[in-house]
Amino acid sequence: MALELVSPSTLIFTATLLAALSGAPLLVPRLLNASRGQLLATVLMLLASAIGLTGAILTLLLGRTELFTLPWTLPFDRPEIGIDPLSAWFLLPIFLIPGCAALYARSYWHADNSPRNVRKMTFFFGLMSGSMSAVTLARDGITFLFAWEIMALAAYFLVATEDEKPEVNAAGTLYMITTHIGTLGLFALFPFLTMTTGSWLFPAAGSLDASSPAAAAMFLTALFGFGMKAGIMPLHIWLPSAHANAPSHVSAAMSGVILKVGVYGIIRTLSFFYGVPLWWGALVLLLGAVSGIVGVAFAIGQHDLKRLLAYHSIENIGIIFMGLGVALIGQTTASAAMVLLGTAGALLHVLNHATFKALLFLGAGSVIHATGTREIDLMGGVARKLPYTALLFGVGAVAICGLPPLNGFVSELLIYLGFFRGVQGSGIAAAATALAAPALAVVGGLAVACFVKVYGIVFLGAPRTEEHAAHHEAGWQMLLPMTILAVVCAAVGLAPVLLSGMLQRASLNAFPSLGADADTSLATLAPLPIVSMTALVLLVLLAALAFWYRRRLTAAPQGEADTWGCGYQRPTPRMQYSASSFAELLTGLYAFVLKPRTHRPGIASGIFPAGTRFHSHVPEAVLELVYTPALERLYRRFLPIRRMQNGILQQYVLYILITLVVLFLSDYL
Amino acid sequence: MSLHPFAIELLQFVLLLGLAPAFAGWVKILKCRAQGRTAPGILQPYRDIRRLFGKDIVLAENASWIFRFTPYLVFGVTAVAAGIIPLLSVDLPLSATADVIALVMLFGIVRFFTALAGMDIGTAFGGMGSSREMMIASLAEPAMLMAVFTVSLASNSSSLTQMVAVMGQAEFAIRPSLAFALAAFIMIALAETGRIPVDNPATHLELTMVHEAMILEYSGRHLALFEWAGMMKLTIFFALGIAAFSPWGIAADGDIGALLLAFGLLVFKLAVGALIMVLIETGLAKMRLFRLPEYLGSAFLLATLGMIAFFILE
Repeated sequence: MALELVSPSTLIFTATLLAALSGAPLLVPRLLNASRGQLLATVLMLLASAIGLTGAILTLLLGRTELFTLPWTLPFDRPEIGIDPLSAWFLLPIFLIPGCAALYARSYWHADNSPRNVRKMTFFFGLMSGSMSAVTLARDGITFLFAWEIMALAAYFLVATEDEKPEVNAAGTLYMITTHIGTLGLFALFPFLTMTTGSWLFPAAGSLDASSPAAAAMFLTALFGFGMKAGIMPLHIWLPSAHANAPSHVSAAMSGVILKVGVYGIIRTLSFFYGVPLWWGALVLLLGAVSGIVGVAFAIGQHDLKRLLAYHSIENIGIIFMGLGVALIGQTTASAAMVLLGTAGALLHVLNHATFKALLFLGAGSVIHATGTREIDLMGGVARKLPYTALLFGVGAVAICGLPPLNGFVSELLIYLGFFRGVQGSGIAAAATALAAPALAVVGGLAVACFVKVYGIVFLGAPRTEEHAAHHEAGWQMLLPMTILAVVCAAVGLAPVLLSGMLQRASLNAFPSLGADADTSLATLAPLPIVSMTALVLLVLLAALAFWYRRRLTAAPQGEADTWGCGYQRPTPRMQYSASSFAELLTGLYAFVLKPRTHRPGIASGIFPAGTRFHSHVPEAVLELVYTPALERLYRRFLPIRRMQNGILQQYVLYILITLVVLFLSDYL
Repeated sequence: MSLHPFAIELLQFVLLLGLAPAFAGWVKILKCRAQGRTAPGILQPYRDIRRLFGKDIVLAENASWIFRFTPYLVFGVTAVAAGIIPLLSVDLPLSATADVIALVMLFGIVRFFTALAGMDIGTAFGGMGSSREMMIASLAEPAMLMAVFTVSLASNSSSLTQMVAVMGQAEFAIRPSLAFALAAFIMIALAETGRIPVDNPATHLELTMVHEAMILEYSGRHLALFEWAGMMKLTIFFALGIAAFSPWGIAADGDIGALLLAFGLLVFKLAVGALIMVLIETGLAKMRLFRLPEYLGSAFLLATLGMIAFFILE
C-alpha cells in the first residue's frame, strides 16, 4: 500500500495508550462523577478496541514486521518495541475481548450500583488491557517485564474488586503469590537469554541453538513462568478461585486474554530456537494432555458456575499446548505439515477460546445477575426468563465443546490433522502423537458432558428454588457484546478460510523454518473449504427444518401434559436431576485425581426420622493435597530463618547494605 | 456413463434414508429368529414410522424450544453424517481429510442436544439418561478414534475415502493391527448405537435404560424422527465398519456399473454384519452400568494394541 495514511503500528500504539489510560479520568473524583466517568472510559475502551483491531488485522493482512527503538535509556539497554504478525494475532483477542467486556460492565457493574469500587475497577481494567497489548509489543526483556508486571498487578486489583469480602481477598492473595512465583521464572529466563545473546533485546526467530544446556534452562524457566500465567495443570492453582471471585466481565477478560498472554510468552520464547529436541515437544504435549483431561474432569465436579468455567480454561489451555506440542515434535522430525498444523491450530484456538470463553463468562454474569447465586444446583429454568442469554450461552457451549459448525471445531480439527500427520511419521514421535489423539478425544467428550450438565441444570427444566428463580432478561449493553462474540464464533466456524492467510503468516512468524518449504500452506493441508461447506449444509438444513417447523407444524395439534415421573402424582422441581447427580458417574470415574468429598450425616432411625442432608463437592485437590501440605512443611522447616524478618527498619537497611557489598566484591573477584 | 459426485452424494442420502428402516427390520427379524420368536416383516419399521407420524404430539409442561427442535436437529445432522461415509463410491464432495473426526463431532452434536432435551423436561429420568449417555460417550469416543487411527496408520492415509481407496486395492491379508482395531471397533459400535451389552433399545426399565430414558417424553412425529435417526445411525456405523475393514467393491468413481456392483455388495455386507451383531446380542447379557468403564476401557486397550502391533509387526 503506497498511499497509507496511518501505519498499522501507529494504530496499535495509539490503541494501547488509549486503553491503558481509559480509566484515568475517573481517578480525579472532582473532575467527573462516577457514572459519567464510566461512560467516558467505556467509550474510550471501545474506541481503543476498534483502532487496535484495525491495526492488528492490517498487520496480519500485510504480513508486516516493524521495529522501533524508543528514545530513552533504561538502566540496561535501549528499549525496543515492535509489531509482527505473531504479536498482531494475539492482539486480536487482546483488543476484542476487553472492548466487549467494558461495554458489558457499563450495565453489569454500573457506577450507581457499585459506587465503592467502580473507579478502581474501571481504571485497572483499562490499565490491564493496555499492558497486555504492551507485553506483546515488547521486544526486549526489560520492557517485557515492566509490561508484564503492570498487567499482573492490574489484574490483582481487578480480582480483588470486592475486597471487603474475605473469600475475594483470599483469591486475590493466592493470585498475587502465584503470579509472582511465575515472574521469578521470568527473572531467570531473561538473564539466561542475555547471557546467551549478550543483549537484552529479543533474538531473531530461529537464531538460537536449542541443544545447549542454556537453551534447556530457558525452555524450562519459560514453561514455568509463562505456564503459571497460562494456568497449565500443576501450576493452575490460582485460576479457579480468581476467576470465580472476580466480577464476570473481569473473569471474561482474564480467562479470555491474560491466560493467552502467557501462551504468547511461550510461543515467543520457543520461536527463538532451532533444532528443537524431541523431549521439548513431548513435554509440552504431555502437559497439554494432562491439563486438558484433568482440567475438564475437575470442571465436571464443580457446583459454582464460574469456578466450573475457570476449570474449562485450564482444559482449553491444555488443548492449545497440545497443538504447540505437535508443532514442536514436527520441528524435531522436520515435518513442516505438523509444524504448521500444530501452530495454526494452537493460534486459532487462542482466538477461539478467547471468544467463546468470554461469551460464556458474560453469559454466566447475566445468569448470576438474574438469579443472585453462583450455585448451579439452586438454578433451573433460566431459559424461560432469559431467552436471549440462553441462546447466546448455548452458542458458546456448542463452540467450547468443539462441535461443528462453530469455531471450536475448526481449531481442534487442525490439531487432529496435526496428529494424523504425526502418526504417519515413525518412532517415538509417532507414538506420542498417536496417544495424544485419544487424549484430545477424552477432553472433547468430557467437555460435552460438562456443558450438557451446565446448560441442562441452569437453563432447562424448572427453577429449583423459589428464591433463585430468574426474573429479568439482561439489558442491551450486556446482550450486545455477547452477540458480537457469538457472531465471531459462528463466523470463524463457517468461514475459516478467511483466517487461513493470517494464521499462516502468524505461524510462519513464530517458526520461520516453515518458510523453507514453499508447498506447505494451510489451504492445501486442511480441508477448510469443506469444513465451510459441511457447516453450511448443516446450517441450511437446520434453517429449512426450523422454517418448516414454524410454518407447518406449530399449527398441528399437540397436547400438553405433566412430565411422567414413574407415576408419582405430586412431582416437585427438587426431584429433577441435580448437577451433582448428573456428574456423579463421571466424578466417580476420575475419583483417583478429583478426590471428591461427601458429607453424609446418615439417616436417624426411629418412627419419625429427623431431616438429613447430603452434600458432595470436588475440592481443588492439587492445591489442598499437594501444595498446602508441602508449603506448610517448608514453612516449619524455615521458621528459624524468619527471625531475620523482624520488622525493624534499620536491620533491613543493613541487609541491603550487606547485599550490595557482597555484589560489589563478587564483581571484583 | 458416470455420475457427478454431487449426484452420488444425493444418492447416498436417499439410500440411507430409505434403506435404514429396512436394515433395522432385518436386524429385528434375525433377532426374533435367534430367540425363537415369530418375526414381523422387514417393512415393520416403515409402518411404525408412518404410524408415529400420524399421531398427535403430547408435550411435557416444562418443554422449551430445545425439546421441540432437537428431533429435527438429530434427524438433519444424522443425514449430513450419511454424506461423509463412502457407502457406494469414494468420489464424495463432503468427504475430506480427517472426515472420521467430522463424523465423531457430528454425532457429538446429536448427543449434545439429545442429552439437553432429556434434561429439558425437568424429570429425574431424563437427567439419568443424559448423565449415563455422557459417561459412555466420553469413554467411547477416544476408543473409537484410537481404532480409526490404527486403520489410518495401517493404510497410511488420513481420510476415510483414502483408506477405502488404499485398502480396496490391497490384496487380502489378515493383519494383526487391523484385527485388533476391528475387535475394538465392534465393541465401540455396540456402545455408540446403544445395543446390548451396553444399552438395550427394547427396554424401558428405569434401572437400565440409557438412550430411551432421554427420549422418554417424546411422542408422535418427534419420536418418529428419533427412531428413524436411530436406524440411520445404526446403518452408518455398519457402513463405517465396512468402509474401514472390508472396503472391497466400493466404487472409485461415479461409473454406473461400478455403483450398482457396490450397491449389491453393500446390501450383502450389511446383511452379514447384522447377523454378526445379532449373534453377539443374543449371546450376551446386558452389562451393569458400573462395569461399562471396564468394557470401554478394554476396547481402548485393544485399539492401542492394534497400533503397537503395527509398530512392532508390520
